[in-house]
Amino acid sequence: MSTARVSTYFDHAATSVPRWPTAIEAAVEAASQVTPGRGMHGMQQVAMAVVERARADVHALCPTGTVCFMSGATHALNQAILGWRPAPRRIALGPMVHNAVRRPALACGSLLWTLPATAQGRVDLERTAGEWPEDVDLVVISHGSNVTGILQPVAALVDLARARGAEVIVDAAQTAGYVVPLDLGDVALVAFSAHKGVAGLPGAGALVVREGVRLEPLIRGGVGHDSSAADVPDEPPARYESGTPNLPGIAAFGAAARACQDGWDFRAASAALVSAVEAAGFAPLSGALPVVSIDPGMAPDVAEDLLDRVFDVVTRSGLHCSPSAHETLGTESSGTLRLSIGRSTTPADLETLTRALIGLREVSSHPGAD
Amino acid sequence: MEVLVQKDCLGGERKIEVRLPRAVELPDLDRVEGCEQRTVLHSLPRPFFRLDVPGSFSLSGIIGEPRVRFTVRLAVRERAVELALAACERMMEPDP
Repeated sequence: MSTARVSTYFDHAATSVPRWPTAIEAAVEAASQVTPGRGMHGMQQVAMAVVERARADVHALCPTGTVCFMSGATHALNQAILGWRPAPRRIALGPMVHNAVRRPALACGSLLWTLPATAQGRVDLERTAGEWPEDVDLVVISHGSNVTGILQPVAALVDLARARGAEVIVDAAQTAGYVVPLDLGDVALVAFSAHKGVAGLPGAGALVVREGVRLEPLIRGGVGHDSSAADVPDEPPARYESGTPNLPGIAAFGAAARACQDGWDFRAASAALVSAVEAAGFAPLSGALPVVSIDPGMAPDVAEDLLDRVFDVVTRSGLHCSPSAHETLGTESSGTLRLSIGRSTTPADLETLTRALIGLREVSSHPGAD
Repeated sequence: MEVLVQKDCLGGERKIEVRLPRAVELPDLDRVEGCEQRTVLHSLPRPFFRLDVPGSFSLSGIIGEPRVRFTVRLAVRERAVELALAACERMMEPDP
C-alpha cells in the first residue's frame, strides 16, 4: 500500500536514502556492461576495470586486507563465521550483535560466550580480560550498535584477543562510510554492506580479509580463470567470489566509497540528533553514531505508526534484528523506537523530528484523550 | 478491501493493514465489538484513533482516511485476517 505523502526519513541505520547520485550514475553505466573477468576481450576488460577500481575505493574505506565483494554484510558475516576453520571451540560474541552475527554463530554449534559489558552495552575490557575462557578461538563483535549507536573499543579488544590466541571478526555494517577509514587494528575479517552508511545500493557488500586468513568458501563455482582446477583458487578475492559479480552494485559501491571520503563528522551529527530528541523531552540511549533509541511512552510499534501517519516521520520500532542488544539493554520485551540520521539529514528535518516527538509525548501523557 | 499482512518484529503478533472502501468516520468506531478502550486524538495534525479489544486486537488509524492497522494478539494470530476483516465489515456497515 503505497502513499503519495512525502515523509521525513529517520531510518538511515536500516538503509540510507537518498543514495549518492554518483553511485546511482555508476550503477546505471555498469548495467550496460558485460560480465567482468570472463574472457579476454576488450569489453570484459572495461568491466573488470570497474570492479578493480571499486575494490580500491572500498579498500580505502577499510584498509585491513583484501576486499572481497559479497551480496551484503549478512552474506559476508555468514562467510566469515561459518567459513572459519578449524571450527572454533568457543566464540565470544559482542553484547550488541545483530542477528547477522548471532544466527550464524548459533548455527556453528560452537560454545558461545557473551563479552561482559556495561549497562549501555559497551564491552568492559577489564572484566573481559579477567573472565576470558581459555577455549575462545574467535571473537565476533559489532563495531557500532544499530540500536543505540554505541561504538565498541575494537582495537583494544583485538589486542586483548590476539594476546590470548584468538582472532577477531568485526561487523562494521553501522560504521563503514561513517568512521573513515575503519582503523580497527589487526582484525582477521571485517564485514559491511554498501547501502547503509556508505549510501551505495543494496545487494553489495564487502568482506575484508587480512593476509593469511583462509576460510572455507560458502559457495563454489566459476571465477573466470583456473577453470581446470577441481576447486576454487586458494587466494582472495577469487576464493570467495564465485559466480557472476553484481557489477552495477559493485560500481555503485566504489563510487559511494569515494564520496564517503568527504570528512563528514558523524559525531556532530549524533550530537545534533540527541539534541533534537532531548528537546522533545525524551532521554535517548545514544552513542557516537547518529542512531538513538527511546522509550516512546507507549508500545513502540504504535509510536512508529502514529509518527508515520500523523507527522509523516519515518522511524523504526521493535528489536531491529538485534535481540542480543535489547537483552543487554533490558528492552527485549517490547523493543524500542529507533531514530537514525545520515548525511542527507538537514537541520529542518531535525526540527520536524522534534515537533513530531513533542506531539508523541503529548499523546503518551494523555492516553485517554477523546 | 485490500489487505496486507506483516509479521511483527518481536516475533509474536501479526500486523494487518486494511484499506477500507471509504474513509473512516467517527461513528464507525462505535461498531467495533468488544472494544474496551478507545482513544481519539483530535488535537494532532491528523486525528489519530486507537481501539483496544482485549485478547484479540488493537486497531489504529486516522479519522478521514481509509487505511487502518490491526495488531492481532499472539493467542489468536492464526485467525488474524479473519478477525480484521470481520471488524472492518462491521465498521463499514451503514447506520440502521
